[in-house]
Amino acid sequence: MSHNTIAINSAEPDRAGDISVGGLAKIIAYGRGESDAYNNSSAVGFSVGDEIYFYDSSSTDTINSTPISNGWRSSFSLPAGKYIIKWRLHFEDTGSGWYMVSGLYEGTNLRGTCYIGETSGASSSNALGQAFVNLSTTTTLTFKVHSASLIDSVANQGTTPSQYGAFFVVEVA
Amino acid sequence: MSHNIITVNSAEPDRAGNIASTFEAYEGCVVSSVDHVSSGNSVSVGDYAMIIFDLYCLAYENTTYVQEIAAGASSPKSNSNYSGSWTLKVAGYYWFESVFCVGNLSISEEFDLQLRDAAGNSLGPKSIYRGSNNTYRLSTTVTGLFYVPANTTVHVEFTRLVGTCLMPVTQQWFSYLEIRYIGG
Repeated sequence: MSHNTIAINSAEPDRAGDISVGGLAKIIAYGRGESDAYNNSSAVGFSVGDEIYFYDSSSTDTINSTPISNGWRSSFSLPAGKYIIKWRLHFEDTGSGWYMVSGLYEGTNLRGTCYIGETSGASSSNALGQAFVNLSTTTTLTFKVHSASLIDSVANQGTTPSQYGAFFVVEVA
Repeated sequence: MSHNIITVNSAEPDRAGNIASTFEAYEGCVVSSVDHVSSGNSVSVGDYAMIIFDLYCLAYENTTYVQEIAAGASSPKSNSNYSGSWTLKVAGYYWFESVFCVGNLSISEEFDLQLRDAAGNSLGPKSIYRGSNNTYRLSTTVTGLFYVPANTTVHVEFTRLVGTCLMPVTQQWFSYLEIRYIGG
């Protein structure tokens, strides 16, 4: 930047003196409908407390100075700040009455949940989990099974979790 | 613009020298309850999911950021009231969230939906809907958080079908759409 020049977020005035300022969106987008077998992840099952994994081969992370790595992951870290986190998922089941409540955990603290399940055979990826976190320091958040019934095995999930699973983070302050 | 005045996004200072914000939280947002998912016909892979705007719509017509594609312009299942795609006019990140309520599909029928751009690039995960032997109406949510160049047109597409998947004519009240510009 030149001396004696006004700038906003390093954007300098043009010749007419106008500074073009855009938004400052910082986001993580993880999951884009790709197909990769769930048993390529480190998932062990769908009991309470088991970690839930998401897949992306080309994710977007403008929040962390070092973007999160791609592949299967059940957790992510955020620097201090305020964030809205949304997620969605779908799993194969073994029978009528199946359901899963996924939770987003900050350590042992539950920050949000998302319910999926079926009604008389019908099912859909209709649920969108949402959480707000206010972090004072860099913190790792993890997706885990909060409760579940009649979810098929990791081996039998095939590519369903990677096709329908995703999580999104938006920094709000 | 006067000479020797600094402006921000072409906005000039007031007499106190303050330049007001040029972006309101919902300026870039389209929010609408929606009426129909489709027009009562069977669908095919590649069809656009339809949305009609006639309920509680917030500023979709003239937002700086989102432009509805004129009904019928690019929608295989178009009719005079339906919209199937939207042009995101400003480069940046957008949040897209829509709920499609459908029903009456048999247990042998299911489909996937996905948000895509005109070139077919996916902008989010897929959404699944599986039918049943009952006449239950469920909803499925289509979402995306993505960056696009200026003037990118997006739509929700049927990407997989099992069976005929005859769409119901009327599924009012249970669906909505939000497209929000969240920054460059």
